[in-house]
Amino acid sequence: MKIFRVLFTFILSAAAFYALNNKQGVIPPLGKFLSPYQGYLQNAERKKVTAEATLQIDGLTSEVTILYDNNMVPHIFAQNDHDAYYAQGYVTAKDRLWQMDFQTRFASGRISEVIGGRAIELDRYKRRIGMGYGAEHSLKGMMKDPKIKAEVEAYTEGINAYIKSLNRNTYPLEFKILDYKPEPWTNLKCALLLKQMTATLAGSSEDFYMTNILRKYGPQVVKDLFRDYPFREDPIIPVGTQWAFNPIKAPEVPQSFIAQMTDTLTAQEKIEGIGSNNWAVSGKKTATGMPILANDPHLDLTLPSIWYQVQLVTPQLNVYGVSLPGAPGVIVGFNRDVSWGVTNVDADVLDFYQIKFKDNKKNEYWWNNRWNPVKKRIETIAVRDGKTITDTVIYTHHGPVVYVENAQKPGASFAEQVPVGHAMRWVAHDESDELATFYTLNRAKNYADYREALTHYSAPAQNFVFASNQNDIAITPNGKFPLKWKEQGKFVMDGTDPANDWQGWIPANQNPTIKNPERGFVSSANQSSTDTSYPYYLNWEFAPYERAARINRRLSEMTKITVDSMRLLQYDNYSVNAENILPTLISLVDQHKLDTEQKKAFDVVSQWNKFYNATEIGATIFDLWYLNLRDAIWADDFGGQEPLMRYPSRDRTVEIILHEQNSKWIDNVNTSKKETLTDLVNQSFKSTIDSLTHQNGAQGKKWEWGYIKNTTVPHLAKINGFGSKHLFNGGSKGSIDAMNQHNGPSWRMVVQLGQKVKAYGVYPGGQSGNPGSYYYDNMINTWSEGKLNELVFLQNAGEADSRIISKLKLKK
Amino acid sequence: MLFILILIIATIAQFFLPWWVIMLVPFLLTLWKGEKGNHSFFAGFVAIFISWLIYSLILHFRTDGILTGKIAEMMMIKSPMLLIFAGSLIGGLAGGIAAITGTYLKQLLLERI
Repeated sequence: MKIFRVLFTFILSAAAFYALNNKQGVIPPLGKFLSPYQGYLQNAERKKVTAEATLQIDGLTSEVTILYDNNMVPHIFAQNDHDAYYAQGYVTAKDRLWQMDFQTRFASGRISEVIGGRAIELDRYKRRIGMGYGAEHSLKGMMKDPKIKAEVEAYTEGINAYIKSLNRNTYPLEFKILDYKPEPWTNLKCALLLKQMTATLAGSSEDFYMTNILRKYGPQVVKDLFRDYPFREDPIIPVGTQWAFNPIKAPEVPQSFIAQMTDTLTAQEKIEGIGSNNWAVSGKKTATGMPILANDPHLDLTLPSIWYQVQLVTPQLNVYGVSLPGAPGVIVGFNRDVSWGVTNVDADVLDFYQIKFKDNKKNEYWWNNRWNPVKKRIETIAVRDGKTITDTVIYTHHGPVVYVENAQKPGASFAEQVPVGHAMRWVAHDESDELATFYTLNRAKNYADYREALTHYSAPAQNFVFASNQNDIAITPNGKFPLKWKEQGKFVMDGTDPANDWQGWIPANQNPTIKNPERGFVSSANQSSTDTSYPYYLNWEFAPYERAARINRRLSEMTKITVDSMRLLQYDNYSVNAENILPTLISLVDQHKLDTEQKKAFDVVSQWNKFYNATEIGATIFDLWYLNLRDAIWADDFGGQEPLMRYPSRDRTVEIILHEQNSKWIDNVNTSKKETLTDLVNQSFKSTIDSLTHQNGAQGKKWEWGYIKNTTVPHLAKINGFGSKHLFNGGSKGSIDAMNQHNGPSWRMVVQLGQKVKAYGVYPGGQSGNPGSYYYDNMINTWSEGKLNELVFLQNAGEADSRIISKLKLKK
Repeated sequence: MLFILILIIATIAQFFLPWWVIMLVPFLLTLWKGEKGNHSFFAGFVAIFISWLIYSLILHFRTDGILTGKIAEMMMIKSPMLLIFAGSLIGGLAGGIAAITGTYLKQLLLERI
C-alpha cells in the first residue's frame, strides 16, 4: 500500500517539476519564471543607477571609461578603435541583447527554433528570398576591408564578452519568457542585421501587381494610370539642376519590351509609411550663421527601439548619434565638424525574372539561347518541439527562385508580392561594404570626406543629407543603382533574354547630388530623386510629394532659422493633400441631402484648418473620406484577389479628382448605373460619417484624430503589457510628422553646426531594452509631445557635466 | 522545526541553485525529518510560499513595481499583488508535494528496514 502512495506522490512531483520547468504553449515555464530568485523579478531594476562600477573583462588593449548620462546614453572613451568598438558591442548587448538576437533570427529565418511551428512559413520565406545568402556575400565584402574587419570583429568580441558574463538569473527577460538561451554573436549577424534594413527599406516590389494590371488592361491603361513621373512633384535635386558629368550609355530597351508595351496583349496604393524626412539649411538662413541639419527616419515603431544612442571617443574620433543594435559605429549623427542623416530612396533594386526550366527536375534553365545549370542551396530550419525541416532553394544567375510552384507559396501577406516561378534579382544579394560609409562619415571633417564616404555604399539606398562647419550643405540620393533601360523592372521580366538582365551600375560619382544650392537648403522626403532630365532610370514611382512640398515651402519662407523652428517643422502636421483636394470635394457635396449628423460633420470638415492635430475632428473625417473615395474609384477596377493588382498612385487619383472628372474609371463597373464623381463624393462622405457614428457614437471627443489614429508603440515580439500605452498625438502619413498607428518618426534629430556643435534628439523608447527598467520607455512622452532632449556631447572623460549619472570602467 | 529548516535552507540554496531546489530541499529534509504526510506537506508548502512571497515583495517594492505590473498584464492577471500571491502559491505547492513525497518514501523505507 505504502509503495503506491510513494509512487503516486513521486509521479505527482515529477509532473509538477516537468510542468513548471517547461514552456506550455505560450506560457513561460512557471517555476523558473515566477521564482523571485531566478525568474522575471531578477530583471526588475531600480530607477537609481549605480554611480560607479569597475569591471574586469578580457580582450581590451587598455582601460575604457564609459559615462552614462541621465538618459543612460553611454559615452565611450577608449584609447583606440578596437577598444571603442569592443566597448560599444559590450554596452549595446548589455542593454539590447535580446533584441539583437531576435532581429537577426528574424532576418535569417530562425524564429521557429525559438517559438516552434507557427513561424515555419516566415522562416522559409526569409531563407527563400536569400537573406542568409546575401548576408554571407555582404560579410565577404566587409572582411576584405581591413578596417571594417577589425571594427566588426572587435564589436562581436565585446558582445560575446557580455554574453559570457550572463547566467540563468541574469538572462534578459524575453529569453526567460520564450525560454531559450542567448547564443554567441557572430560577424555574420552584423551582416544579417544590415540585410534586414535592406529588406525593410528596399525589399518590396510592385512588379507582380503591375504585370497583372498590364495583362488585364493592356499598355495604354498602364501608361495612363501608372505614369513614370507624377503630375505634381518637388524633386530632391531641384528642377533644372545641370548634371556635371558625362553619362555612360544606358542599355537599349529590348525589342521584346517594346512589343509588350505596344501589343494589345487586396489591393492598395503603394504602401506609404516607411518614409523619412531630412534637410539641411545653409548658414545664410539661420540665426547663428551656421548650418542646421534635421533628420527623422520613419520606421515601424517598437519597444525596444530600433535605435540606440551612443557617443564614441578615441584620440582620433569623437562621434555621437544613433546606432543599430547589432552594427558597430554610428548610423545617423554628428561630430565636431559635420553632421549627416538619411532617408530612403525608393529606387527599384529588386526585380523578378520568369524562369523556363528544362524539365521537372529543374536542374537547368534557359537563358541566352542555351540551357544553364542551376545551383541548389539547402536550407535547414530547426523547429522547437518539432522535426527539423530541410528546404532546397534553386538559384539561377539572377538569384533565388523564391517559389517554384503555387503550392509552395503561403497565403501570408509577407509573400504576397512574390510571383511564382520567378527568380529574384536583388541588390541585397551582392557583396557590399556599407559599414565603410558610416566608418568614414563618423570621422568626416568636410564635404570631400562626405563624398568619399558615399562611394562605398550599396543598399538600402539612402538620401544622405550633409552639413559642415565650413558652411557646406549637400544631399545625395545614394546607393548602388543598377544601370537600367527605362522602365526596366516595372513589370516581371522574361528571364531567358540577357537583354533583360541588369547590365552594370550607375557610376557612384554620377548619383544625383547637389551642394550649396541657390535656395539655401537641401531636403528629401522619399520623393523623386530628380526631375526627368537625369540621364538614368532609378524607378517609375517614388513616395508621394506632399511631405516634400510642405518642407520645401516652409524652408523657403523661413529666415533666421533656429533649432527650435526646425523642431517645430519636424512636428508639423499640415496636410498638403487636404489642401489640394478638400475644396473640390466640399464643393461637390449636396448639402441638402445630408441628415443632421452628416451636416454637422460637413461643417466641421469644411472649417478644418488642414492640420492633423490630435484634437481635430476635421482630420478624422477627411482622412477616412479620402480613403473611402479612393476605394470607390478604384476597388471595382483594381481590387480583389485574382489577379492581385494595386491602385494607381495618390498623385494620379488626385489628378483625376481635380482635372479628369469624367474619367471612365469613376464609374463603378459592378452597378448598372453610370456613377459620376459627384455621386462617389456624396456616397463616400455619407458612408464615412455613418461608419464613424456607428463605431464611435455621435460626433464628440471619440472622433478626435488622436483617438482614431490610436498611436501605440508595441513590443518587438508583440508581448502584451510590454508595449506603450495609447499616445494621444497628431500627425499623418502625408504630413511631415508622419505618425500613424504603429509607425512614424523613429528618431528625431536637429544639429546646429558651429564652433561648438549643439544637438538635440529623441526616439520613442529608451536606451534599455529591459521592460523592467525605468529607461525602457522614459523618452516616449518627450517624443510624443514633439520635444527634443539636448544631446550630451562630451569632449573628454574628465569633463564635469551634471547630466552624467553613472560611470563604468572596463579594465583589461 | 521542519518548517524552519526548509525555509532557511531552501531560501539560502535558491541564491545559488536553480529554482527546483524548492522541491529538492523539502524532499531531502522530509526524508530525514519527516513524520506525518500532512504535516510535511504543510511545512513544505508554507516554507516555500513564504520564501517566495517575501522575496517577491522585497523586489517588487525595491523596484517600485516597474515590472510586476507588466508581467501581470502579460499573464492576464488583474494586479501585481495577485501575480505575486499566485506565483508564491505555485512555488508553495511544488515544495509541499516534494515534502510529502519525501515523507512517504521515508515511511516506506523505515517499514522495510
